[in-house]
Amino acid sequence: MKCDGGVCIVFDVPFICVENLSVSYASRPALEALSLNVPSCSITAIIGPSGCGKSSLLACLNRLTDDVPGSRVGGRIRIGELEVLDPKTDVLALRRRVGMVFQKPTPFPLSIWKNMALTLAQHGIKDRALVAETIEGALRDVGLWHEVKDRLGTSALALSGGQQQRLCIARAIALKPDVILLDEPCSALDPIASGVVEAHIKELRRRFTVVIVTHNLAQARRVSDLTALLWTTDGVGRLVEHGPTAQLFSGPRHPITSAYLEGRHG
Amino acid sequence: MRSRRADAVLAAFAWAAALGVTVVLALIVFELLRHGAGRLDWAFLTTAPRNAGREGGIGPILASTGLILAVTMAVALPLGLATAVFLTELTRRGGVFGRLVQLSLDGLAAVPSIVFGLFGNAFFCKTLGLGFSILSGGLTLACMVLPILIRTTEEGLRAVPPETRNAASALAYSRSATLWHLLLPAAAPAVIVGLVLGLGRAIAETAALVYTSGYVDRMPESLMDSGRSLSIHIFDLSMNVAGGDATAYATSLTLILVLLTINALASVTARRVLERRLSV
Amino acid sequence: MPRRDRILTWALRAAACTAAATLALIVCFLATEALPLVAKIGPLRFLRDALWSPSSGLYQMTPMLAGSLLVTLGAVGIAAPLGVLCAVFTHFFAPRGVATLFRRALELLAGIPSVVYGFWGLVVLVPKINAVHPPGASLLAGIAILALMVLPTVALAADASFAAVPRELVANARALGLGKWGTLRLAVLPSARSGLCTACILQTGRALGETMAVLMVCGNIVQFPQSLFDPVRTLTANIALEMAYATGDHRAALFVSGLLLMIVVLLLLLAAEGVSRAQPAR
Repeated sequence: MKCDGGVCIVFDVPFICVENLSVSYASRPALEALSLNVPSCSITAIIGPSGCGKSSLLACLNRLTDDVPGSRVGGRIRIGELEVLDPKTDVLALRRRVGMVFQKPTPFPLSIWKNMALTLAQHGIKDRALVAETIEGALRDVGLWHEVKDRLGTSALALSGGQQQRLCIARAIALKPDVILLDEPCSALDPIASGVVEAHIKELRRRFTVVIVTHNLAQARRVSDLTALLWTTDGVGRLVEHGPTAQLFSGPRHPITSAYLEGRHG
Repeated sequence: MRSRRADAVLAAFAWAAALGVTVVLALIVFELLRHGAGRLDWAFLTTAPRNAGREGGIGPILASTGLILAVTMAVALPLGLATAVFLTELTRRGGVFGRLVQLSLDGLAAVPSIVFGLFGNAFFCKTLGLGFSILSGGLTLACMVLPILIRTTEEGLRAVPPETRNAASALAYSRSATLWHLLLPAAAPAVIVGLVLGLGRAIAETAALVYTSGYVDRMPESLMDSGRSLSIHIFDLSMNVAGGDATAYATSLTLILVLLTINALASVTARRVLERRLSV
Repeated sequence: MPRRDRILTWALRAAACTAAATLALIVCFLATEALPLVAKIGPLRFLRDALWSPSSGLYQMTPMLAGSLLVTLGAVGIAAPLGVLCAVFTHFFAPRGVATLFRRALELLAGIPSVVYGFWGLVVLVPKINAVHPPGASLLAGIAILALMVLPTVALAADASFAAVPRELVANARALGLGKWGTLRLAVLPSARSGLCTACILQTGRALGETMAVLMVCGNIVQFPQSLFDPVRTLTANIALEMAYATGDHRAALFVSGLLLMIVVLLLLLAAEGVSRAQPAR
């Protein structure tokens, strides 16, 4: 056990358990033999070059791979007690427990309010008072409440990029998931908006287990507790090194890791 | 210089072609207005034709046309929307079944209208026993406008960015909710365009209707009655009724005005839909 | 998958099957009505019989086939170059506002119902031709009206494929010091070619299938025309004229001509697909 800034992280009791995961698209392998444990209420950063399977790993965690024709997923993933890859698992229930935010902000072309309320309604939350309370809470969590509370009825597309992305995060956490997956959430934003979003991501760890894919090594270092490096060898993505962020950045054990981390200077 | 001269010749031809087309259009419109505008008034639009259409109005014919179009759209719109959704959301691009559907729709779009008439007569009138009726005519036209509706709706749906679908999927939206709340609203302007193109094609149609909805120019009392469309009325007046030209002019003018009105309404509605999406 | 989604999926699939089955259904019905007669008298009789007289069991279709082909080819032959010229006009010569206005006019022309074209031809064009060379209702009138009907669609399609020509290509042609003709000839036409061909083929199909306008201005006499001023009857007009009273073998003969039309149009469609596929996507 290790205490970090008042937040206790239990490293030895994994919340997300990935065992021997393999992914292929139209019989072209993308990920192979990947095992990874993610502890509860922590932020794990997945780093690595483009095409190393980072996004594929995320997509497996909420079975978005189901939507990709020709994809095959093998191995075992547990989130809490839930067998993620079991065909009997209710995908919609799984996705409620595992929220996701994408690289490009994806507000629906509806009002801010409807973006939130419709999502809640999809999960049977229709009680007016509860809906209003949940929406306000989620928007406060991402610091958007004060910026938009007077124009909840206007189109979400009218928000700035950073605001849109925070709305997407709010939309995901309004469902009170256990896990939040962030797929390069800041890479489409300008540095200032990116900083704001990053600050709110750090806050998320208090209540959620966060897995973030990022290209930005400095960001991984700033926000995450744990870091995993994926690398493409023989055309297939594999896990190279995994450990506490401070340790991985200061003393990488694997030569690929040190080369990759140094690459940021060159 | 040689290229200068080539350019000048090209310019002359291009201007001549454009001018020619404009003049012909002006002639047609002018002719219709000159002979038709005089007859066109409220009474003409509401009263029944007398003396084989030489006198009186086109009230029952407008009603029949409206009913035929209503049947057409009531059948073709849901079927077309559903097929378009199926093609964009449930099939892979290049999948065998999807390709097959696409191919057969391309074929359907190319079928000559008189062939639709033959088919409608054999299938709807004879085999299904609907006889010469507004229902037969409407159903025949529904087959005809189906590919147009599907094609335009499909384009609208394909224009919805894939991120929207991914995000909905990640938030565990059900397929029906994604479709209903996100995809169809986004495709609404395209659906309207398809609707207008379909209506335009249907309302202009004559050959497919002559042997399905029939010639009767009385006010229809049910969908099983035969009803004469505007286009058939024009055809009949000009070919079979000596002295029917004046009414034919006025009816042509009406037909074109109806078409223009539909177009205008549709473009206003489509713009409304777009505006609402940006502001609400 | 929730129940509602499963129902939706099946409903969508059923709709797609219905839509796809429509074409098959049409072909089936034409075939069931037409094939008994073909089986009875053999396909060659439709070409070899001495004349078209279904009441006496004679089914020569060649004059009407010739009529259809002549009218169609004549119309497309006139409309295609004119249509391209119209597109050249909007892209190279017309000031912006005029081009937009002109496009609107083309759209209006394209939207005028064929029966109105036919009517206009009957009351305006046919008397004019009659003044030059009676009877007026003739192959020429058919070609003119059909060309007028096809022209706006060809022009709009050409306009669209000109618009799809990569900007850099045009800029490059300009940079080489080419004039408008040179730019058109070397840059625009070659890269718009497949689009133009597809449009022409599809409009050929449409012209071939056109019934009312042709019926109204062509005179409808079953004969091989000796000149442009002779009346002709097309296959489509024949169906529309005789369906009213045809029964038995006569009716079946009309379905044979419908099936024939259908086959030709589908072949044209395949040709169009071939042309647009032959050009690799940019």
